[in-house]
Amino acid sequence: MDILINGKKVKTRKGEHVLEVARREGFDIPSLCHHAALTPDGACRLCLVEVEGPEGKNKVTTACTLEVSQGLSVRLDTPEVAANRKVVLEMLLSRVSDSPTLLKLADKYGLLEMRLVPQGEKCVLCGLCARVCTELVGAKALTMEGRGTETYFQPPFGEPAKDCVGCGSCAFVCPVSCIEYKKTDKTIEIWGRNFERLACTECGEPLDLTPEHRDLIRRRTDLLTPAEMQLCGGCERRTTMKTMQRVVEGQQTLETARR
Amino acid sequence: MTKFTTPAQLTDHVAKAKATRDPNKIRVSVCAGTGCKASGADALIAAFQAELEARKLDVEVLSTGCHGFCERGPLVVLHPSGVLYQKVKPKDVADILEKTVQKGELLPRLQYRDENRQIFEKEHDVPFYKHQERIVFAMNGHIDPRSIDDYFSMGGYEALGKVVGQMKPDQVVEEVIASGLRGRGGAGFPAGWKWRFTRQAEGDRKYLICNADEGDPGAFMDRSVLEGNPHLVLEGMIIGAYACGASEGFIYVRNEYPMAVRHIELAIAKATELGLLGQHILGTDFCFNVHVNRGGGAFVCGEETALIASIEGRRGSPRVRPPFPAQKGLWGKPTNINNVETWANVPTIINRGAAWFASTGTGDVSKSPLGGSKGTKIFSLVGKVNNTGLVEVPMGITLRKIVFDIGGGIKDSKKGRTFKAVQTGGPSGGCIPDAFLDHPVDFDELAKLGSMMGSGGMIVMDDRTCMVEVARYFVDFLKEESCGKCTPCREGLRAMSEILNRLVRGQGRHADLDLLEDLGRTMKTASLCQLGQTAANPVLSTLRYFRHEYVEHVDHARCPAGQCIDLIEYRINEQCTGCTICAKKCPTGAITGQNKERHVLDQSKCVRCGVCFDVCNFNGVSILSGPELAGKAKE
Amino acid sequence: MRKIYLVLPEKCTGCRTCELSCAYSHQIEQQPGAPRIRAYNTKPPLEKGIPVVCFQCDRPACQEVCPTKALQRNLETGAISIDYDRCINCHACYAACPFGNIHIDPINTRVAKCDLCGGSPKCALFCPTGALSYK
Repeated sequence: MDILINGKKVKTRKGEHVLEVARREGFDIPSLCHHAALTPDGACRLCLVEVEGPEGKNKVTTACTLEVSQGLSVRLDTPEVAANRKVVLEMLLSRVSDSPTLLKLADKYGLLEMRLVPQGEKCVLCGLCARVCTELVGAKALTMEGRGTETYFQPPFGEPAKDCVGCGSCAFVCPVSCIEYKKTDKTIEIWGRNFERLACTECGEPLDLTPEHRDLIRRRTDLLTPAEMQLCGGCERRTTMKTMQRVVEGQQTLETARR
Repeated sequence: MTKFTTPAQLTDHVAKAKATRDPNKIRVSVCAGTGCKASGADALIAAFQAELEARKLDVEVLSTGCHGFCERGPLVVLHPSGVLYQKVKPKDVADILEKTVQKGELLPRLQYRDENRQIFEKEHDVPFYKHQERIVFAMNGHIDPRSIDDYFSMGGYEALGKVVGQMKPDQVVEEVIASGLRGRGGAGFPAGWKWRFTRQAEGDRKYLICNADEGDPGAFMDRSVLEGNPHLVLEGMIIGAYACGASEGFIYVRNEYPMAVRHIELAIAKATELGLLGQHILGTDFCFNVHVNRGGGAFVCGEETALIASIEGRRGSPRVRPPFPAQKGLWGKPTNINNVETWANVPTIINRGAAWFASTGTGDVSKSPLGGSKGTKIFSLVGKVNNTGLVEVPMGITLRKIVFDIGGGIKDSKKGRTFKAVQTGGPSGGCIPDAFLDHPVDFDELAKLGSMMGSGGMIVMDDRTCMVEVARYFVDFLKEESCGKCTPCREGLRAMSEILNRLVRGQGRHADLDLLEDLGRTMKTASLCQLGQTAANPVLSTLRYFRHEYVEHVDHARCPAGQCIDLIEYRINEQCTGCTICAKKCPTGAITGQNKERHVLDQSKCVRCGVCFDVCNFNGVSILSGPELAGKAKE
Repeated sequence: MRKIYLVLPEKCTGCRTCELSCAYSHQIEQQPGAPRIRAYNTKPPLEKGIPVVCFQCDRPACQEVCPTKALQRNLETGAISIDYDRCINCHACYAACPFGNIHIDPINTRVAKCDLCGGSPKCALFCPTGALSYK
């Protein structure tokens, strides 16, 4: 079905939300807690848009949770949207005053004055780390602890993450890069855990893989053995290359090469 | 008693129980609600039982739920005469039985007197009760909440028999819509519509929830309904389950209400025993089980999606709506969730008919339940009134009538205290000043005034209540209770708290007031759930009606109401008669003086507790604030 | 009819022009990315070679282990490609591919794979010997 964004008619599919649709069409809507692979959470409140209603009764709401519907018309940069978005940004900046991500957004959306007391926190409480870990990776190592401004996304009770596998997805998706993911030759450190960093069994190059993560990945398919997973890309390609070479030189048939 | 296996058996049983209830039997109804229990009701009941045993009188002592007049507890009402005794102690029991019950002599020392010392003999004459319309609370003073037989004898479960025996589920839904019943939990959304959505939603199983997480500070209406007449709520839920097609129900009660939990669990057990709950209710295909869930101490779990998350074992954080619980609620299934008081209204609507209910209250609900506010509402009337307690009043009654006729007017009005504002709707509501005292109380009228009905909290404030402090109190409460998920509520409340805490200490800045309004606007527009959306109401409504108080705090470090501790000083003035009461009561020994001579207050010892002001009967203590104080410079 | 990406290793000389064209056609802010095809020179000097590139498997291990459904088959080209809006960079695909055809792009430190350039593979376009073709 078609909806209107800033007066422009755009095509949508049932079940989509205005945020993805707008971005697909080239419109710019800021967000922190949105991720294409997660169900919308509506936590950060940055992606505000104005829905045009009957008799001029418009409503400001979050684009990530707004499902497309017949006759929907939204405006992205009305004075109401701009004013509220600026205050939300101001609130976020008061929490994490030195985040480059937030400062860039502040610049872009005209936030000039910081009237609130800086809190010196590092995390914007978008929740992406915990949601990714729970809903996608499946390790469920992180939780939303505490309440109100004393909320922390961390392993339960702030103790070293019992269920973490060291995949680093949380650090990757964090919009303000506040999760420490440290790799040394032999270890991967994150959330108070010190994981063994696996190395390629052929050449010894450190892999971005822990035994726990390897086991978790294996549970998603029956195609893999642990041995296969502990090889680096280079060595795997060389093996592949050698097999192909043998086929080319007639030393092996295509069928046997194909396992 | 054995299980009822047909609706007709239930109907017959109730008719018989009603008929055999002897209206002339002498009953001593002792309030054993939580408030009166705290004042010694248990000892009182034990004393009555002992005395009755000793005197071998044919009198029944009834331990009942909350009567409502909590200010004057422990309460005793004698039936059928209707004589009311207040603040009764075990040592009064002998007199009550010997003089009043046996000889008809009244005991003035136990009778209720109003501010003018006029005595009111009967319960229904006492102004506090006279102007109420007790429908939900009708049975509270007449039954033992632990007894299903008592409930039957007053017509309990008659509605259930009628519904299961004679009505189709759709009919029940239409009846509730036609009655105009709107949710009593705060939002005022038409209950019947919710039932209809749930009924029509697709799902292989449906759930019912009773929201008993009553979290507003000062609110205890739902508590008293659940404690005092649990079967009323249960019957409403069973009827609701029948109408919505639900097979499982959950009562989510705050853990801080142990008596309510006990009584409702007892009611569930008894109802199940008799075939009113469980499999094949009254011998039909209708099956419905009810479980009790206890909350973990979070105000936000009164919000329906957070409540649902809590039942599911997840963190009590609200989630975005749509989808609404009627479509996708508990465990993704269609769920109808209503407040305790809403459920408690259902049996009466079935018994007396939607037309009767729709004829009460305000407005016209023939086209839509939103056209008016029907029925009654229970308010917890607290604060600076003479008669605090629970009051049930018809929708459309004026605020003035509640505060002055029922509430008995402002406490200490003889000492000069005057009405200033009434706060309704708890932390989500606002303050209404005296200009609007003659406004009717209903959902839409209160919203127009910048407040809301909410769940029924009603806090009366006098001239010594600082409105900036009121705003600070509610903001600090909400700041602790905000779940923290969304930015505007979490950070907005933190920022507001920082500002208001500075204001009450006289450290305000000019830009603070505009900032409060700006923050409030975004909290209202952009918050995820209604906790955040209404969190700014206390601030915005006090700014709207009492801006001058804020300005005084900012510009002159002055608290006009004389409440903000950092900004006031107590002084003894020339009206002091030297009665020495204040010196005796002062906790720090800051007041000295001879008998019959004007006393002196040593500021260096004063902790500004206000006791001297409270106990003085001669207006001999003044409260100063602002520039008139020596040596109090604004930062 | 869907085109076929044909690899004829007999024709490969290991010149690595494919690698170059792949890297430059996947630039990020003017930095060439990691190539998603590797040509190994088996008989120097550039006499014989073997190109190793994603087989776009019928039953891709990478797709099966991806927790975000970021690896999807493009129905027009038949290639499995990474949707970076969904990818969480967990490297499961990298660990899973038995042939080493998931690469780690060092510039953005994110995973990358051959997606047939969305329908006009540059390696095939520039391969001088016809070892790689797309017809």
